[in-house]
Amino acid sequence: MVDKVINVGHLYPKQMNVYGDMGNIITLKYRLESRGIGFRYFAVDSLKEMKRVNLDIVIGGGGQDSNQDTVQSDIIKNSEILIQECNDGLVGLMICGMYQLLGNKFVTSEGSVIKGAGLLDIDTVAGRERLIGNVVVDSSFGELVGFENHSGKTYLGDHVESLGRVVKGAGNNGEDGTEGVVYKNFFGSYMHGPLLAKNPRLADELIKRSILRKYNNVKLSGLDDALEYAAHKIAKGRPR
Amino acid sequence: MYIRLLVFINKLLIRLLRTIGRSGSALPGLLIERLCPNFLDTILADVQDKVILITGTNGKTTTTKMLVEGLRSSGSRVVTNSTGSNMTRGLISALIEDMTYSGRLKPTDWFVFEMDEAYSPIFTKNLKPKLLLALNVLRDQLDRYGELDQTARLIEETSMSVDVFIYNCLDPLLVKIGDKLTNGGRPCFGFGVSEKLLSAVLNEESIHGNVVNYSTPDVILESAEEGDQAQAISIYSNSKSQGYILPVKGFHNALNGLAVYATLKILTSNEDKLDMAMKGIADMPIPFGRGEMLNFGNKNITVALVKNPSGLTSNLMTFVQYSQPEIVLFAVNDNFADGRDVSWLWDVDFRGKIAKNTTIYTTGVRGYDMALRLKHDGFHAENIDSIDAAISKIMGSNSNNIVVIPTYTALFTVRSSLSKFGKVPRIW
Repeated sequence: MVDKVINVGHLYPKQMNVYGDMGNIITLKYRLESRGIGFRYFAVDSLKEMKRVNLDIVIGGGGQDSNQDTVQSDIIKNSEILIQECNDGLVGLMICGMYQLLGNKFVTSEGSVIKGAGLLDIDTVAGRERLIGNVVVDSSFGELVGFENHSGKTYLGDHVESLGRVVKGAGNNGEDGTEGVVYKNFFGSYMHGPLLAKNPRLADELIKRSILRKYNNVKLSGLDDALEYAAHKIAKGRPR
Repeated sequence: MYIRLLVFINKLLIRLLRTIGRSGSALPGLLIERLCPNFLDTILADVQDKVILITGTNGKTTTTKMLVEGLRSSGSRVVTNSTGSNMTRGLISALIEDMTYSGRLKPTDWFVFEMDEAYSPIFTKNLKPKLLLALNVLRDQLDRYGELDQTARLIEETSMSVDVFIYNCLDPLLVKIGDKLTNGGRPCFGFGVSEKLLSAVLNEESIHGNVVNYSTPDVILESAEEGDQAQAISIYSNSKSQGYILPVKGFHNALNGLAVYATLKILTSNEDKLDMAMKGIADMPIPFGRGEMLNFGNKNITVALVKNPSGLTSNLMTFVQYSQPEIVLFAVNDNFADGRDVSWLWDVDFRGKIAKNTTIYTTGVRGYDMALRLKHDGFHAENIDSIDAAISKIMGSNSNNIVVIPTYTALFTVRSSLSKFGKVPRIW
């Protein structure tokens, strides 16, 4: 039997990596290696590089406004590569800034339209106030906890589903009660935390989908998640 | 006249509070803030060219202490907000404390204020201070202000109101401000490090992989050598090198010491006086919680406050990796003053910074988050729910060499729990 290895790509690690989003990758590494599955890390500075490696999971995080210009131009130029991979079943998790950038468009407070990758059927509009605080979400991957910090308000189109319903916090836009997005094997969310660390069921969902796609069968052994759920429980009870 | 009367009443109030054993710094300031909103503008109007502001996300308190210590030991009379209370109320309290009962400022050479980044543009709305020292823009309490860019904007706004802008050449956001001011013909002064030292720098960029002097420094840190309780630094300026001792450890503090040197250089043209001031810093007591060492019999407890990834990284390197304690206790809270978001714990790489045989405990509201983070880097940590119980545990252990790493609000609980076991210096 061939040992299993999962290749994890990190989109724009230099620019899009705030609020501990690197922790999503650290969590995947831990949950793969604890089960005897290999983990390989690839920094993806341009989508073109994705042609050279067969990625199984791709992760993107939030960023500062001032860092996003170069990222945005690369995404627009090479979005086809990512869309094709997504159609082919690549597993993805996009947080905050990268979540917005993979959408159709972003409308700034001055009303100008910034084009996105068009991979996710979502539109984002600059909001007046920053939505900041602890978030609790009810999802089909269990209850999720995280920390949001965004001013963009995201609205879902007809071709995508939300990741879950907001129990506490603002979520996508603070209006319709949705948080995040699911489209094929791509997940988008405003939740930092990092999201996967305190939500092990969601982390394992990404892992399962990637293994199923690569090796056609999947059976994940259980891990001791007592600490994960202790931290999850505390986060859930903290004030906004 | 109204103001003078207010000052008089307040000074009586402070004395009364002291007599009954309440020395909190908030109440008198609060009273004036309410009754006389333009107090600071009025009192400081005549001395604004003696006002020095220190801002940045990390190291304000320690840097302010060093500058004040230096200025005082070279003979200057200084008023400062020494408690680290760095918005309107704290400044008012500091001034009233020093004023006469008739409501006048005593003759003073410098007013040195550490200042919250978000408050500084408000302070400088009607005042034109002598200089602004900008230490850094690192990831700190971002859930309060939004993003680093916003913090930089606040500092830029403040920089427009001062005579001289002193900035960290390793910090790209500050260099951007410095360049803009320089192009506009305004005096700027940069501090940075030699090429050799660049690899040791822990700014936001270095966490993401590139470290560089973003502009050419006017004063340069050549070396920083750690001792057990202090460090020796060498500074290159005007084509010669000078060595000094700093009472605080860690590379971040070497940079803070350099920032003090840069500031003194602007404030005094007299080389001997500058040298005397820098030498005076060596005897400064370490500010509370910033790597202060507390002794209980044979037990040495080092307490090192953390607020963000770069601060935690440098504290780990200085107090854990270098000193090899038997126990490390992390006390992590997520109250407003700590920053509600604890995601930043994941921006720190713990691997190789804690020896494998070290006993690790976590505590605080988010102790489990800390333990979870450590687990992912291969460390086992035992979480103890209350900070008080955690302190009892380490004090009841056989270990004599212990490091406690608390977040801001946890620091206060840590110190009060420790005071049950012996003397802990009062904060103010």
